Amino acid sequence: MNHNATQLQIVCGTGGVGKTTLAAALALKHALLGKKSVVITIDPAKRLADALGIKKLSDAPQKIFTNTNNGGATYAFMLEPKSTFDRLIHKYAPSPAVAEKILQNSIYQNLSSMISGSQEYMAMEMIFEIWDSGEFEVIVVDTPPLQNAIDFLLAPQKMVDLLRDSLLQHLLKPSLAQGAAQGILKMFDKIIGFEFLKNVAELVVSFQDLLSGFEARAAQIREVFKSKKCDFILVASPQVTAFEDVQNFAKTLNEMDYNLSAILVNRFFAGKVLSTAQITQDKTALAQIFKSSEAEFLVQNFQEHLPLIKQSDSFKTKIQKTLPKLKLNTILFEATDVHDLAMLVRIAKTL
Amino acid sequence: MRTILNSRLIFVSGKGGVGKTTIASKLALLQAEAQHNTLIVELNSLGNVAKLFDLPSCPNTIQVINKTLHTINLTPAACFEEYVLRQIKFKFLFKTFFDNRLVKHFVSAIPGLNELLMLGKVIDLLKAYDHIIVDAQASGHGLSSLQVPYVVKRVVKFGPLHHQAQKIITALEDHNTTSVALVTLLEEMPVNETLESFATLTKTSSLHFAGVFINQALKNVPEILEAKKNLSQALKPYWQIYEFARMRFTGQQEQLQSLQKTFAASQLTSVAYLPNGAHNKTDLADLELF
Repeated sequence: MNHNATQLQIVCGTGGVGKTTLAAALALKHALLGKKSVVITIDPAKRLADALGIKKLSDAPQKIFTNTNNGGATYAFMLEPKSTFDRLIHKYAPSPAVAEKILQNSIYQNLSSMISGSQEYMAMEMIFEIWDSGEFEVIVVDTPPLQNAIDFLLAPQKMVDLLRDSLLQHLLKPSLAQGAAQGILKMFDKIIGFEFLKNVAELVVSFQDLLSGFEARAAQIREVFKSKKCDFILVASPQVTAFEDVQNFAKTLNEMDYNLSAILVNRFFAGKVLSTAQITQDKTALAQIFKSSEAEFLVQNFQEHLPLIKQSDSFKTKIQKTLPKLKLNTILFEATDVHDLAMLVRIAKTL
Repeated sequence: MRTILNSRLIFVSGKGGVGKTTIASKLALLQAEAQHNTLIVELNSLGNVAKLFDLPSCPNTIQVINKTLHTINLTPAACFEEYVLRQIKFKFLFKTFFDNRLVKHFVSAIPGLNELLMLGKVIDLLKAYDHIIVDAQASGHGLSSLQVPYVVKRVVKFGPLHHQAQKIITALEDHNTTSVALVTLLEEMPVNETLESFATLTKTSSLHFAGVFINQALKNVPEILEAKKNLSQALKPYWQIYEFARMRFTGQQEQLQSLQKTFAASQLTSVAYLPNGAHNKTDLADLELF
């Protein structure tokens, strides 16, 4: 099968570390090397569109970069969870009537706002669909911002568990309407409202026919994610507090048998740490070139940035020491935002 | 700034990584210093506030930072137990029907219930505190937990959940009590997201919007004319870092201008950049608002 050659890279990290930007840069790197790549994001705030300097991403992968030298190209795709889910319902429902019943359910219609994790689940589905199409040589995935980078991987199972929920299914069983169970029902009614519960339970029951399809899919996805074709890339900022997160993430991935291949240390501030004595000496020298207030500012500004240099260095050293097998790449702290393709390509070249 | 501190309940929201916890904690410190009984609430988080104040992580327990400042990290399961007990009054009944595993499962299976329960609890806590600051969850869609009551009210037309949603909405939309503040950095992506969140907020609800906190704002980095030819190798680092800071400052000013197009000056509060970040109480006290 041709798609067996498709490479998958999952870019993880906590919010605000620059995942989206670096995922796009990674996809571009593959295009620079002559491959056909796609970057997928499910970020609802349209940040990938920002980073790529385009206003809106369409429903299908859109070409954002062509390498005329070697035929490489990068596509971008922004996932719309609701339409992906709708498509899946049609695909797995045993009959159009069942599909319609689910699509019309008011809870289903508000699923993404009401069930956390449904977006992540849809992202997984989309990744698999694109992977399965074999249309791209490399797929780079920008994962949603989560407190825990690992939550993304657990989302599909959580969704399946939720749909399997036996408690809710029991609610609809006629046997519950008699005897001691009636007390329980009354209590549920008082706490949650039976009409609503019934609505939820109906949705869950309608999903049962689709569940085997979903589960098979979840298993396939897991298999692809654990295979050699897939690797995980962690993005982190060089902050004292981030180190623990990196360690935990690496440990969990390892335990779950996923392949963490690299860490991208974003906003790395490179520089030399000078001694106080040296700085005092330099200040005198600077005062001979600049106005005294300017020299003062240059020195103060330099001192204010020293913590960034120190943090960057110690973060890198710590990672190299504790996770020696991990490929480490530093991306320099840029003074300006990455907001166009040219800047992304420049970053891509350093990866 | 002054107006936001008047609110008894403040939700601090924004894109991931912009410093919501830092700003929420700073606001709470300011309230507490003024001798108001203040509580910082986290919604089912990893216990970041506790960490900031060097306390152990104890979900769903009120932790004392000092006499006037407390913190709690709410969990859905505990809020559920409280909510149920209020309806059925008998603890033994609760224990009989909902052992822990079952409760956990049940709460997670009812869409929107998590958020409703936690928001309901926050509103109850207003009885015990002068001021509550909520460090709202980071998510791709920053305001989502605040939108849950609206969604539930729309989807569930009657019954206890509908009432609960309505009760929460009434408290949230009481402008004398509740405000929402957004946190941003002066970078393109967070600024865009702030503008989007603000648009959603005003379009979908009548919550009172208190303003934007601009975290890591650089104070003036003056223009200095380069004296390149006289700069020795040893002095070059000073110039390089200056150029970096100056470029960042100009970039920040551009982003500030785009915020100023939407927000009045009184709605924008800057928080000075701390190169080391804010990792403890002393750092928080050092954070300068301007």
